[in-house]
Amino acid sequence: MIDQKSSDSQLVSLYQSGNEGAFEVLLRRHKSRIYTAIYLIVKDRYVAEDLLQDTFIKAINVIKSGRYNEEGKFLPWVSRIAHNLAIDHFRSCKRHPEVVLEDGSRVFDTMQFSESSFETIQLRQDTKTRLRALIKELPKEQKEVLIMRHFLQMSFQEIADRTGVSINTALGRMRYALINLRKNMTKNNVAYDKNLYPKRPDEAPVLRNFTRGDEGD
Amino acid sequence: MRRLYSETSPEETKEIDKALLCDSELQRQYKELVLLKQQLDEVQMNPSEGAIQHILHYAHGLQEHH
Repeated sequence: MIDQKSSDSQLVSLYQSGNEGAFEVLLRRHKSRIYTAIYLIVKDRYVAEDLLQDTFIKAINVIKSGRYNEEGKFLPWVSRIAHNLAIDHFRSCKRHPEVVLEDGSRVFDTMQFSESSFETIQLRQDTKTRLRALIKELPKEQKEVLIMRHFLQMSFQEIADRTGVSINTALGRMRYALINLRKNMTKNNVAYDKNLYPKRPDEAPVLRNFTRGDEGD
Repeated sequence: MRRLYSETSPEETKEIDKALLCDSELQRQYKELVLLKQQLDEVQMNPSEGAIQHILHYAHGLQEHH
Protein backbone atom coordinates (compact mmCIF):
# COMPACT_ATOMS: atom_id res chain seq x y z
CA MET A 1 0.00 0.00 0.00
CA ILE A 2 1.43 3.38 -1.00
CA ASP A 3 0.89 6.52 1.01
CA GLN A 4 -0.60 9.04 -1.44
CA LYS A 5 1.14 11.78 0.54
CA SER A 6 4.59 10.36 -0.17
CA SER A 7 6.97 12.87 -1.74
CA ASP A 8 8.03 12.53 -5.35
CA SER A 9 11.49 11.55 -4.28
CA GLN A 10 10.15 8.78 -2.02
CA LEU A 11 7.99 7.51 -4.87
CA VAL A 12 10.92 7.47 -7.30
CA SER A 13 12.96 5.48 -4.77
CA LEU A 14 10.11 3.03 -4.28
CA TYR A 15 9.75 2.61 -8.02
CA GLN A 16 13.49 2.07 -8.42
CA SER A 17 13.27 -0.69 -5.83
CA GLY A 18 10.52 -2.45 -7.76
CA ASN A 19 7.28 -0.93 -6.47
CA GLU A 20 5.27 -0.37 -9.60
CA GLY A 21 2.38 1.29 -7.80
CA ALA A 22 4.69 4.11 -6.81
CA PHE A 23 5.12 5.08 -10.44
CA GLU A 24 1.37 5.12 -10.97
CA VAL A 25 0.98 7.57 -8.07
CA LEU A 26 3.67 9.80 -9.60
CA LEU A 27 2.07 9.65 -13.02
CA ARG A 28 -1.44 10.42 -11.78
CA ARG A 29 -0.13 13.24 -9.57
CA HIS A 30 1.53 15.14 -12.42
CA LYS A 31 -0.27 14.04 -15.60
CA SER A 32 -2.75 16.93 -15.87
CA ARG A 33 -0.22 19.69 -15.30
CA ILE A 34 2.25 18.27 -17.81
CA TYR A 35 -0.43 17.34 -20.35
CA THR A 36 -1.91 20.87 -20.19
CA ALA A 37 1.52 22.45 -20.68
CA ILE A 38 2.24 20.25 -23.69
CA TYR A 39 -1.21 20.93 -25.13
CA LEU A 40 -0.78 24.70 -24.82
CA ILE A 41 2.43 24.44 -26.84
CA VAL A 42 1.40 21.96 -29.55
CA LYS A 43 -2.33 22.91 -29.62
CA ASP A 44 -3.48 19.41 -30.51
CA ARG A 45 -4.99 17.00 -27.97
CA TYR A 46 -3.82 13.87 -29.75
CA VAL A 47 -0.26 15.05 -30.26
CA ALA A 48 -0.24 16.21 -26.62
CA GLU A 49 -1.22 12.71 -25.49
CA ASP A 50 1.49 11.16 -27.65
CA LEU A 51 4.08 13.54 -26.24
CA LEU A 52 2.87 12.91 -22.69
CA GLN A 53 3.43 9.20 -23.28
CA ASP A 54 6.87 9.86 -24.78
CA THR A 55 7.75 12.05 -21.80
CA PHE A 56 6.92 9.42 -19.19
CA ILE A 57 8.39 6.57 -21.20
CA LYS A 58 11.63 8.52 -21.38
CA ALA A 59 11.44 9.13 -17.63
CA ILE A 60 10.79 5.41 -16.97
CA ASN A 61 13.81 4.42 -19.09
CA VAL A 62 16.10 6.80 -17.25
CA ILE A 63 14.85 5.80 -13.79
CA LYS A 64 14.99 2.07 -14.47
CA SER A 65 18.46 2.24 -16.00
CA GLY A 66 19.73 3.87 -12.81
CA ARG A 67 20.62 7.14 -14.55
CA TYR A 68 18.12 9.26 -12.63
CA ASN A 69 19.91 11.85 -10.57
CA GLU A 70 17.86 14.93 -9.95
CA GLU A 71 18.40 15.21 -6.19
CA GLY A 72 14.76 14.54 -5.49
CA LYS A 73 13.35 17.02 -7.98
CA PHE A 74 11.21 14.80 -10.14
CA LEU A 75 8.71 17.36 -11.44
CA PRO A 76 11.20 19.95 -12.78
CA TRP A 77 13.11 17.11 -14.43
CA VAL A 78 10.10 15.51 -16.10
CA SER A 79 8.84 18.99 -17.01
CA ARG A 80 12.07 19.68 -18.87
CA ILE A 81 11.66 16.45 -20.84
CA ALA A 82 8.08 17.40 -21.72
CA HIS A 83 9.03 20.94 -22.66
CA ASN A 84 11.87 19.78 -24.91
CA LEU A 85 9.64 17.25 -26.68
CA ALA A 86 6.84 19.79 -27.14
CA ILE A 87 9.17 22.46 -28.48
CA ASP A 88 10.81 19.98 -30.88
CA HIS A 89 7.38 18.98 -32.14
CA PHE A 90 6.25 22.59 -32.44
CA ARG A 91 9.32 23.42 -34.52
CA SER A 92 8.85 20.44 -36.81
CA CYS A 93 5.18 21.39 -37.27
CA LYS A 94 6.16 24.85 -38.38
CA ARG A 95 7.86 23.13 -41.27
CA HIS A 96 4.88 20.80 -41.89
CA PRO A 97 1.76 22.66 -40.73
CA GLU A 98 -1.48 20.79 -39.99
CA VAL A 99 -4.95 22.30 -39.59
CA VAL A 100 -6.14 22.16 -35.98
CA LEU A 101 -9.33 23.72 -34.65
CA GLU A 102 -9.59 26.12 -31.75
CA ASP A 103 -10.52 23.38 -29.27
CA GLY A 104 -7.44 21.35 -30.14
CA SER A 105 -9.18 18.80 -32.36
CA ARG A 106 -8.36 18.19 -35.99
CA VAL A 107 -10.58 19.00 -38.94
CA PHE A 108 -10.85 15.31 -39.75
CA ASP A 109 -12.43 14.53 -36.34
CA THR A 110 -15.19 17.07 -36.88
CA MET A 111 -15.92 15.67 -40.30
CA GLN A 112 -15.99 12.13 -39.00
CA PHE A 113 -18.17 12.89 -35.97
CA SER A 114 -20.35 15.67 -37.33
CA GLU A 115 -23.33 14.45 -35.24
CA SER A 116 -21.52 15.58 -32.11
CA SER A 117 -21.58 19.22 -33.18
CA PHE A 118 -23.89 20.17 -30.29
CA GLU A 119 -21.36 18.79 -27.89
CA THR A 120 -18.65 20.68 -29.69
CA ILE A 121 -20.61 23.92 -29.43
CA GLN A 122 -21.08 23.33 -25.70
CA LEU A 123 -17.41 22.68 -25.35
CA ARG A 124 -16.57 25.92 -27.07
CA GLN A 125 -18.81 27.78 -24.64
CA ASP A 126 -17.00 26.29 -21.74
CA THR A 127 -15.12 28.87 -19.74
CA LYS A 128 -12.08 26.73 -19.31
CA THR A 129 -11.87 26.18 -23.02
CA ARG A 130 -12.10 29.91 -23.61
CA LEU A 131 -9.44 30.61 -21.02
CA ARG A 132 -7.15 28.08 -22.66
CA ALA A 133 -7.77 29.78 -25.98
CA LEU A 134 -6.79 33.11 -24.43
CA ILE A 135 -3.56 31.60 -23.13
CA LYS A 136 -2.79 30.34 -26.61
CA GLU A 137 -3.29 33.85 -27.98
CA LEU A 138 -0.68 35.44 -25.72
CA PRO A 139 2.53 36.73 -27.31
CA LYS A 140 5.01 33.88 -27.73
CA GLU A 141 7.51 34.92 -25.03
CA GLN A 142 4.78 35.59 -22.47
CA LYS A 143 3.01 32.32 -23.16
CA GLU A 144 6.28 30.44 -22.90
CA VAL A 145 7.06 31.82 -19.43
CA LEU A 146 3.48 31.28 -18.25
CA ILE A 147 3.52 27.63 -19.31
CA MET A 148 6.98 27.01 -17.89
CA ARG A 149 6.23 28.66 -14.54
CA HIS A 150 2.61 27.80 -13.92
CA PHE A 151 2.14 24.41 -15.52
CA LEU A 152 5.66 22.98 -15.63
CA GLN A 153 6.52 24.57 -12.28
CA MET A 154 9.99 25.69 -13.25
CA SER A 155 11.50 28.45 -11.12
CA PHE A 156 11.95 31.92 -12.64
CA GLN A 157 15.71 31.43 -12.48
CA GLU A 158 15.46 28.16 -14.39
CA ILE A 159 13.18 29.78 -16.97
CA ALA A 160 15.68 32.61 -17.37
CA ASP A 161 18.52 30.11 -17.87
CA ARG A 162 16.58 28.01 -20.37
CA THR A 163 15.32 30.94 -22.43
CA GLY A 164 18.58 32.90 -22.31
CA VAL A 165 17.22 36.03 -20.64
CA SER A 166 17.75 37.71 -17.27
CA ILE A 167 15.53 36.76 -14.35
CA ASN A 168 14.03 40.27 -14.43
CA THR A 169 13.02 39.77 -18.05
CA ALA A 170 11.44 36.42 -17.19
CA LEU A 171 9.56 38.03 -14.28
CA GLY A 172 8.45 40.93 -16.50
CA ARG A 173 7.18 38.55 -19.18
CA MET A 174 5.20 36.61 -16.61
CA ARG A 175 3.70 39.81 -15.27
CA TYR A 176 2.66 40.96 -18.73
CA ALA A 177 1.30 37.50 -19.49
CA LEU A 178 -1.02 37.68 -16.48
CA ILE A 179 -1.98 41.30 -17.17
CA ASN A 180 -2.78 40.56 -20.81
CA LEU A 181 -4.69 37.45 -19.87
CA ARG A 182 -6.76 39.45 -17.41
CA LYS A 183 -7.49 42.15 -19.99
CA ASN A 184 -8.52 39.59 -22.59
CA MET A 185 -10.69 37.76 -20.06
CA THR A 186 -12.55 41.00 -19.40
CA LYS A 187 -12.92 41.64 -23.09
CA ASN A 188 -14.27 38.11 -23.63
CA ASN A 189 -16.45 38.00 -20.50
CA VAL A 190 -14.51 35.15 -18.98
CA ALA A 191 -13.60 36.90 -15.73
CA TYR A 192 -16.89 36.72 -13.88
CA ASP A 193 -17.98 33.27 -14.90
CA LYS A 194 -19.64 31.67 -11.85
CA ASN A 195 -18.06 28.33 -12.67
CA LEU A 196 -14.72 29.83 -11.87
CA TYR A 197 -15.86 31.36 -8.58
CA PRO A 198 -18.19 28.72 -7.12
CA LYS A 199 -17.41 29.43 -3.49
CA ARG A 200 -16.50 33.07 -3.20
CA PRO A 201 -18.31 35.12 -5.85
CA ASP A 202 -17.96 38.22 -3.70
CA GLU A 203 -14.22 38.05 -4.17
CA ALA A 204 -14.31 38.63 -7.91
CA PRO A 205 -11.64 41.26 -8.44
CA VAL A 206 -12.23 44.84 -9.44
CA LEU A 207 -10.75 45.30 -12.86
CA ARG A 208 -8.19 47.95 -13.50
CA ASN A 209 -5.88 49.11 -16.22
CA PHE A 210 -2.22 48.24 -16.03
CA THR A 211 0.12 50.49 -17.88
CA ARG A 212 3.20 49.27 -19.68
CA GLY A 213 5.49 50.93 -17.18
CA ASP A 214 3.88 49.00 -14.33
CA GLU A 215 6.81 46.65 -13.83
CA GLY A 216 8.53 44.88 -10.99
CA ASP A 217 8.26 41.55 -9.25
CA MET B 1 5.57 37.55 -9.24
CA ARG B 2 8.09 35.71 -7.09
CA ARG B 3 5.83 36.09 -4.03
CA LEU B 4 2.88 34.79 -6.03
CA TYR B 5 4.80 31.62 -6.85
CA SER B 6 6.37 31.26 -3.39
CA GLU B 7 9.90 31.89 -4.57
CA THR B 8 10.73 34.56 -2.00
CA SER B 9 12.88 34.02 1.06
CA PRO B 10 11.14 34.23 4.46
CA GLU B 11 12.56 37.74 4.89
CA GLU B 12 11.36 38.89 1.47
CA THR B 13 7.94 37.34 2.11
CA LYS B 14 7.69 39.24 5.39
CA GLU B 15 8.65 42.51 3.71
CA ILE B 16 6.22 42.07 0.83
CA ASP B 17 3.38 41.06 3.15
CA LYS B 18 4.07 44.13 5.25
CA ALA B 19 3.91 46.31 2.13
CA LEU B 20 0.65 44.63 1.09
CA LEU B 21 -0.89 45.41 4.46
CA CYS B 22 0.06 49.07 4.21
CA ASP B 23 -0.97 49.64 0.60
CA SER B 24 -4.56 48.81 -0.28
CA GLU B 25 -4.00 49.37 -4.01
CA LEU B 26 -1.06 46.98 -4.02
CA GLN B 27 -3.16 44.52 -2.06
CA ARG B 28 -5.94 44.74 -4.62
CA GLN B 29 -3.52 44.11 -7.50
CA TYR B 30 -2.04 41.16 -5.67
CA LYS B 31 -5.48 39.67 -4.98
CA GLU B 32 -6.27 39.91 -8.68
CA LEU B 33 -3.14 37.95 -9.47
CA VAL B 34 -3.95 35.32 -6.83
CA LEU B 35 -7.43 34.86 -8.31
CA LEU B 36 -6.03 34.61 -11.81
CA LYS B 37 -3.52 32.01 -10.63
CA GLN B 38 -6.41 29.98 -9.19
CA GLN B 39 -8.24 30.23 -12.50
CA LEU B 40 -5.16 28.99 -14.34
CA ASP B 41 -5.19 25.91 -12.12
CA GLU B 42 -8.73 25.26 -13.24
CA VAL B 43 -7.90 25.17 -16.93
CA GLN B 44 -5.87 22.02 -16.49
CA MET B 45 -6.89 19.24 -18.82
CA ASN B 46 -6.77 15.50 -18.32
CA PRO B 47 -5.27 13.12 -20.84
CA SER B 48 -7.38 10.10 -21.75
CA GLU B 49 -7.26 7.07 -19.49
CA GLY B 50 -6.03 5.15 -22.54
CA ALA B 51 -2.88 7.26 -22.66
CA ILE B 52 -2.28 6.69 -18.94
CA GLN B 53 -2.80 2.94 -19.31
CA HIS B 54 -0.35 2.89 -22.21
CA ILE B 55 2.34 4.43 -20.00
CA LEU B 56 1.53 2.09 -17.12
CA HIS B 57 1.72 -0.94 -19.42
CA TYR B 58 5.13 0.21 -20.56
CA ALA B 59 6.26 0.69 -16.95
CA HIS B 60 4.88 -2.74 -16.08
CA GLY B 61 6.63 -4.42 -19.00
CA LEU B 62 9.92 -2.86 -18.10
CA GLN B 63 9.49 -3.83 -14.45
CA GLU B 64 9.16 -7.49 -15.43
CA HIS B 65 12.48 -7.37 -17.27
CA HIS B 66 14.33 -6.07 -14.22
